[in-house]
Amino acid sequence: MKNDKPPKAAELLLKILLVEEDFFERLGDYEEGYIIKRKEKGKGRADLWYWLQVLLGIPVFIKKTFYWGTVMFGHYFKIALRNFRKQKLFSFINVLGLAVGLAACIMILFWVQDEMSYDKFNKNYSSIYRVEREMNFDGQYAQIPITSYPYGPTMVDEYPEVLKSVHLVHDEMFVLDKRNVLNRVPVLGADNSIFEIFDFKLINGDEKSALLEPRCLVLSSALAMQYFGTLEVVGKSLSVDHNGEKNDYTVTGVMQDVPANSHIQFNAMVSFDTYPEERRSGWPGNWLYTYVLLSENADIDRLESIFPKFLDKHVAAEIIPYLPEGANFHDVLKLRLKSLGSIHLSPAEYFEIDPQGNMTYIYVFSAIAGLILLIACINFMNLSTAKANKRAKEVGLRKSVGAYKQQLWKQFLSESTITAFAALLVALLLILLLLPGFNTLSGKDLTISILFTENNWVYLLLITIFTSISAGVYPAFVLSAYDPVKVFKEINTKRGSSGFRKSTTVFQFVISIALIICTFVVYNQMNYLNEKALGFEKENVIIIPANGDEFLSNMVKFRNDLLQNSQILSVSGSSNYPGNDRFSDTVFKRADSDEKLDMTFLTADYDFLKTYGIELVSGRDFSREFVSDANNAVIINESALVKFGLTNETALGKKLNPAGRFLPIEEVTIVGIAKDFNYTTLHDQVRPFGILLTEQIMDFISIRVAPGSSKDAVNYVEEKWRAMFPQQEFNFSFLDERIQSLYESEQSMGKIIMIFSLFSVFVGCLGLFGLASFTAEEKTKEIGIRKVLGSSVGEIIMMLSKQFVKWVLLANIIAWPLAYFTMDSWLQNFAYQTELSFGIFILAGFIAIIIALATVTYQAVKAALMNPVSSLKHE
Amino acid sequence: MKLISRAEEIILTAILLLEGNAYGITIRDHILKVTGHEWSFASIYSPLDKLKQKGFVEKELGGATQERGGRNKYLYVITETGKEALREIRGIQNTIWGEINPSILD
Repeated sequence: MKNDKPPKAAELLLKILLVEEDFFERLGDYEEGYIIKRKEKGKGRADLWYWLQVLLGIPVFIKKTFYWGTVMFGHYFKIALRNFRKQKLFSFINVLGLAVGLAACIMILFWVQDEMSYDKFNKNYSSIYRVEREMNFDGQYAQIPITSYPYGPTMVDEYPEVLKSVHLVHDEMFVLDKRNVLNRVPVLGADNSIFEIFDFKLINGDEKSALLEPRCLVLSSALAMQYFGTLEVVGKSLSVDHNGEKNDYTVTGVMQDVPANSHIQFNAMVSFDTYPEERRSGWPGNWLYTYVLLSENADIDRLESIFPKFLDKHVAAEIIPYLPEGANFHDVLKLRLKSLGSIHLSPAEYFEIDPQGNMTYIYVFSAIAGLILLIACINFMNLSTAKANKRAKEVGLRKSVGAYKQQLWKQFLSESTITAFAALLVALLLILLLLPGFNTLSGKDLTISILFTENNWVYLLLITIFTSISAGVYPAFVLSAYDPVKVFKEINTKRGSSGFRKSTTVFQFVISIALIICTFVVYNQMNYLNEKALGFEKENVIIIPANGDEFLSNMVKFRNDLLQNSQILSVSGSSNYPGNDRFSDTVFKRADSDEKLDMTFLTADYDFLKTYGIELVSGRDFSREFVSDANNAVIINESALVKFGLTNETALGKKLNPAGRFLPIEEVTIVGIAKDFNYTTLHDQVRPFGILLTEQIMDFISIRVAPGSSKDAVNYVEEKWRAMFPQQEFNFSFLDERIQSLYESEQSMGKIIMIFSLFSVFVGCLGLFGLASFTAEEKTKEIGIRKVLGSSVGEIIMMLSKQFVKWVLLANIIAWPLAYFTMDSWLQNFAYQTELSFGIFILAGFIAIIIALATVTYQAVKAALMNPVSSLKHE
Repeated sequence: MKLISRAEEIILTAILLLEGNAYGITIRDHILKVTGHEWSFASIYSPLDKLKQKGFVEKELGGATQERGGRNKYLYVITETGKEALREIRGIQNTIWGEINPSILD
């Protein structure tokens, strides 16, 4: 008869359902009934019967729990409110601390949600891929998201899984407006299949044909209003200067604004067939993005595994001659499909279609928000356990009249829940206040209405309940463990271990100090980037984008006109400017040997080096006096010199042959060697660089003005511009501002980290303030006696503050290595880094101690100044 | 005083009849006998808890047995107020049924 027990699982469930004092009696009844049934009907039927009996108990259980739950909760609520009122300061600290923590968490949650929501508005979200290539060449790895024209259509032809493809390219055109001025309008070149692959919609026009014909335009409603004053624009035409040709383009549609969480952003589209036929043929050249729509059951791994054959068939012949000897073509070049969902958070490093997000920031910000909430929870734990002796008698009494431990648990958890929900209300107010600022920093457009979309209110409740439990469990455990006998005999009972409080306080300061250090390092690095000598003078340079032939023919006159003004020092036209983040490069071959080198380059006219203040280490600047210079001279930088294996002396006069169809130059002679200068962002090392002399390419005009005269100079330039190029927009900017904007994402990250570290310091100090006031209060009598015996106020303040300073010092020691390793790895993102100086660490520690002391001292002074008579009467 | 419910009435009468051997199992058997339905334990316990709260029944410690997995058995006995409540409900029963000729229901 050993195995005549009722089913284990059912019995377990029953044990949960039976919570009252009749536990064993009832359990016994169920079992006895089971045995009787078993004898009559056998095991199977008896098991079934037992299960049924247990399950039938559930409704009663729920009814009871609910009934007593509400009754008791009402009671707990009342007691909690009384305690709130009795201990205003502590309740205020708890609520405010938790509110700040919750607000930080919720805002970060919104932000993360927004980052994760990118591109999900597309119906075909999971079937859209971008065709990319991986290059492993000459020790350099690059992921290249751009391709040439035939990749997409060929894939559609050759693979049944590839249903559709679209070509996209960011471009610009110049639209003649009503005042007869050409406006620069960024435009996305796109095939009509963009409407079949992505969910971009038209308000007016036909999505089936809008971009089928050449010279068709789709405008955003804002642009339609700007040029026509109405949205009924389908069939109207615009005069456009595009691709160096003036034409009338037909407007075929007005589009809905592109969702903010699309990784491609644009306000206008031009049909892809507008581009000349020769640009749309041939496999070499990378200038557009190819997106493909795959069938639902497409196997990405299989496709990628057969791509080498695709490359063999179409591009191998073009590329293999350029490979170094012995290099395997398939190791150098791989074709990949990048899923739409991964583009925004792990974008390509170079040539990404638009600025994207960063997975690291998501981790960092989530971690920081979690830590702030944790600090706030620790405050709650520490203050509740510190204050526990005030509740000891209440607990003793409850236990004496028969409260179960579970009931006390429930009571204290209810209290933390009430506090957490009060904090939630305050947090929502805080969010309402802080959201606009947060939006400016993060570049998002979040509104409080997000709360009611999706299931956000559920997350909010979950976060709040999680907070209340994590803050309340430890105090509940400590408080419910009181022995009533000891409480009433006033035997000194444990009030939560002070070791626990000490270590949690240290932990809080570790986090705060580490965040302070991070803020400093980020700021230092930003400063360093702004102030680092770049190798050219970035101040007092005005840059104006130029477009069209009229600049080429009028440049000489324009320059001479400008130089009439003594405030204008020099004027130069070039294809690019130092401080841009996009450059072209091509392979340069030495004419006298087989030496080849991939060099970044720009083309410029005679006054470029003078305008930018670029120094030469050897040779000479371009000069009009040397007739041979025109279209034939190059100045290379020191890095290129070294890579070519030349020296300052041997290099001069050497000839180089650039590859590439876009250059009007066939052979160049090295006339000078420039000192290395940081032509692009400081994320990247200086690479071999060349400045080619030509006056035939002019995309930017750079003007150096006398220091302190920029405003007058700009006015003067604008006046001349309007007179000479009445149809061109005057769209100037200052070089130093353009350079600063290269680091926008780091700057806003720095600000967000700073704000959160302020939050964490604030919440940590709230807790310290509470603990200090508790210590002062606990030692009231001791202070009284010390004063009577002749202690000075200073000595008492010392005594009270000493331990806190000790804690903060300890926290420093733990925080320093943590911050060091984190920031060290962050700095690896930059090729040029500020030092992680020890001073920063000392300073952060010092600040933490000062803040801690200031917080504690207020309480200490208050206690020390108290009249010993009243402190000895205390309690 | 508020009248006891029918379930409470059935259970009280069962306890009365079982004379000191009333606990979960025996009460359930008795109910099966008089009503012809098998009640779940849960539906016995909740009226039983109410009766105890009102002071109509008391619990006495009975012995533990092998069948119960060694757990103690508690026996329910009716109190004087419990008997009073039964008398009251019986009185009302008689009054309301007294004037009704059984043949009317046929």
